[in-house]
Amino acid sequence: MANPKRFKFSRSRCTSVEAAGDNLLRTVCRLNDMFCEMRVTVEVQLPDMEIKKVEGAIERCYDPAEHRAIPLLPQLAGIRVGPGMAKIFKGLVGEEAADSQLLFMVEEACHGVILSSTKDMAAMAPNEDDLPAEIFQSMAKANTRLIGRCAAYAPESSMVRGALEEG
Amino acid sequence: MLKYLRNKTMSVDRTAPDELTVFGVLDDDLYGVEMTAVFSQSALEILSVSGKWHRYTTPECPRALDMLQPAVGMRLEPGFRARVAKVIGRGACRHFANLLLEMGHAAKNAKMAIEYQEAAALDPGLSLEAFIADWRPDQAPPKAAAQSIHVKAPAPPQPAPETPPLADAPRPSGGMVIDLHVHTAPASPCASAPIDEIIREAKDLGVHGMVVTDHNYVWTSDDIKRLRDKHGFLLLRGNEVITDQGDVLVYGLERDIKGVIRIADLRAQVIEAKGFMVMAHPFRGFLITGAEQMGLSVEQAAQREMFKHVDAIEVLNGKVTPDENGFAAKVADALSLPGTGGSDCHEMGTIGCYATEFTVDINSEADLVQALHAGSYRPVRFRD
Ligand SMILES: [Fe+2]
Repeated sequence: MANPKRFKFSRSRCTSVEAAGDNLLRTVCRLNDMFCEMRVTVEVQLPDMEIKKVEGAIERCYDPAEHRAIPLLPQLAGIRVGPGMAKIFKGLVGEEAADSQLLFMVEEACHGVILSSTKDMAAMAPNEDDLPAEIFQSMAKANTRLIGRCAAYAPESSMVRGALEEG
Repeated sequence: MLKYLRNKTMSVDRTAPDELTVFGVLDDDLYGVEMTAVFSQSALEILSVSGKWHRYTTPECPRALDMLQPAVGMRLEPGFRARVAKVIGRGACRHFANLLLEMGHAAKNAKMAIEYQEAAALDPGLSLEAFIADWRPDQAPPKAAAQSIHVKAPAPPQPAPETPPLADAPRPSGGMVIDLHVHTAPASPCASAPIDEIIREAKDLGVHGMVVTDHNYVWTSDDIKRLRDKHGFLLLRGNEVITDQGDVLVYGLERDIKGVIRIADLRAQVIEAKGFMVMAHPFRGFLITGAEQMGLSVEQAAQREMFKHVDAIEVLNGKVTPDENGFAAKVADALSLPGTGGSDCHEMGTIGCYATEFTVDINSEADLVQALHAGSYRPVRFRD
């Protein structure tokens, strides 16, 4: 048997979002590792973030569950990208594909759309190193759902403490 | 043109007979993070974890590094994803959580690869397809008793402060005030407040009644009657149903709906039962996802499929921001659909923040549905 120390497993996953014209975004999630090479393409209409089309493709995969998931993905068209979408995806494809890697890739692709809009917003702000703490405090105050969402917005973070004291 | 790109790379080495060391990198236009986690190969349990930032968005993001340790002791078993999302995603950072999930999945696949190589060494004719079809990650022997792993308690949940009330929301003016959107534990897995305590709090506050709208859960009429008698309080039944278009509050439909249903199918059932449907918090997450910045207008939002299938829109919801409530109210106006109010309370201290004021007396679920159809109500801000 081969030396177990020489064992190596590698994986790469790439999610990209491109403008596909006429307020349409095309987001693609690609996965490549020892066991599979798959791709999911999702088209999202702006500004409503409605999923227009979902397509999965398998180049190489040994798991029959992924092959069974392929025909179930197009029915995710019509759902909006945003909070709660994962729950809806799982419910619509049913048990058969709820835990499939391809469904997770749809989610990753849709998160890419959210992150691309975050990037657009971030690009409009000056470098955060130059921003006074009050800017972040007012962000926390304006959107309290951010509070408790991560360590940066934990109640004891300076960004939140200031916001709550003022409020 | 490309607007955004995220790369994640995983590299798994077998660093000891029962140890898989996973090195993961997540890199995109906003964030750059890397993590190293050691998993036991037998039980796929996290033995150690560390992380590093390369790029982040707020001055407090570095705090996340101190909050990664509760991942130690977690195992790749059912519920792993939810635990990582809650403990690492909320306690530290969701991008570290995303990376850790990917690393866990890579560790599982690495274990499968190793076990295939071992099995194929004994049975050279064994195909990968045949091996995968039978493979289960938990087939391996459980964690050895001698292996002592320090498991840190998960970080306590961070209390989210209440959403500030919508300043210009109307106050009740003498009508009957009912909270139309209430969750209780354990009927709603996401709620923490037991129903008896919520009822006591609602009574103390002066709310006249409340409707339990537990997620995909129907209370029996006997249970409701018992609670009504015990507390001398108007308790009614509703349901919050997950549809392909989002959450819908349903009144007057006594049916246990499991999972996710198409909104058109739910509509058909509710019409048949002569019930009433309210689109719950239709713009929840609206600001976080940046739809407003993309210029979604009230008119465009009003075109959404969901609004074609409901009788009213929840325009005062205790779990969303004032802007999201305000936008929902504008859409309801544009569609000439009535608005309702409800706390969407899941824990103590939030019941009745918003409610619905009726101009008629309500004593039963039939009265409620009738009043909703008649339009004799309006959303109000009840509690400060
Ligand atoms: Fe709710």
